[in-house]
Amino acid sequence: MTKIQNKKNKFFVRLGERDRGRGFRISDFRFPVRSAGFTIVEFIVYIALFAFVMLFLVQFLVGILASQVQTKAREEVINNAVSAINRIDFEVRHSGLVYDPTSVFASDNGQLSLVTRKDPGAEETETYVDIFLNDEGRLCTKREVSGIVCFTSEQVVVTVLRFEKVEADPEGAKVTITLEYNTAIEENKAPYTLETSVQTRGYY
Amino acid sequence: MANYQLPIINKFSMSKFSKNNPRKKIENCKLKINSPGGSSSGFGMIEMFVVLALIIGTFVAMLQLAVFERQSQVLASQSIKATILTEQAMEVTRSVRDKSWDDFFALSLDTAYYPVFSANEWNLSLTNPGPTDIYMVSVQMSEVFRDDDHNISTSGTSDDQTRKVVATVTWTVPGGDANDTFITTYLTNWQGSQ
Repeated sequence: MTKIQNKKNKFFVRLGERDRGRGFRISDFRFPVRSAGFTIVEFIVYIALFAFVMLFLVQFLVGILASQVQTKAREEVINNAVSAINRIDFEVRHSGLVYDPTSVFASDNGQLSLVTRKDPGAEETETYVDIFLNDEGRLCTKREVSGIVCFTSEQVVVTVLRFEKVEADPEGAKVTITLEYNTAIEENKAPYTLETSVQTRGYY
Repeated sequence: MANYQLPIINKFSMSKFSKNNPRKKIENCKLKINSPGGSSSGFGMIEMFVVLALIIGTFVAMLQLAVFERQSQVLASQSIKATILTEQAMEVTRSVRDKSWDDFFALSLDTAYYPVFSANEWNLSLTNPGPTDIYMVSVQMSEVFRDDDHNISTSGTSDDQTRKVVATVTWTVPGGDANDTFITTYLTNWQGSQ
């Protein structure tokens, strides 16, 4: 059996001697066998349905992609916020005192200076640690020995780093930190605020 | 193996083929097709609607998945914040304990106290200051008993150097359900025993 296509794009079947008695199978044909072809109404309905499905599909995919971007942004912000608050908690717990002269309290761009015995320089028993925001809005610590180390990702910006001294024995600090995703698109910023309070414990 | 049957054309009217023109168009022939579905026509409107319904059903399922993922993330972020606030409440209680064990010990038992930050000091107040954001933070102290081996037990001798503290944060999740997280610990008069 041979399939032939003419200029009008219609299919023919040529029967050969060896095809006798085998019968036709539907798989012999590329297109459905109908007694009549597509009507113009069916064609229009199909095209309309196809267009509707494609429109829905595109809008849906755009929505899913936007949602995924926001999800990733929120995840990044939350992870960095938790990491930042844990880092501050760690530094305060390991310190013995809050150093008031270089600390900046009650400011959204605050700084907390601590006196700690952790990792002092050679022939030193204690050193100073500053917790602050750099120019790019990243949470950083500065030690006299090891210099500046930043703990938040470049993908997020810390918009609020607020310290308030807690008068107690031992003293401590109340910390409020707000982060958002580093993007110009407002709905993807996903701001997230954490607040904690921690006392110095002099761990070292 | 699935019971799959190919549709077979079991009746073919050769009379429609012209003996002189074997290339007679097949579409002019009357074919009877015994297909498993019993349909003798090609791809029709019903099949189209079925496909459309399947596609829409798939989209709806994916949309529900995306909504569920978002809700889960919101719940996770709220839970993280609540946990940190709970830790803060416990830290506040330690701070109050460290200021004066006697004052701390005199706080009413099994009564909700609320952490209040004022004039650079944390205090525990009986007056509810209202929620922080959506979170209601409270702590509750209770009496501690020790058995003859000096282990903490539900009954025995009251320990005046130890208090059981439960810090709780409650909040309302989207949808109206209440959620809470709490930390339980025992605070001792560690400075007084030195």
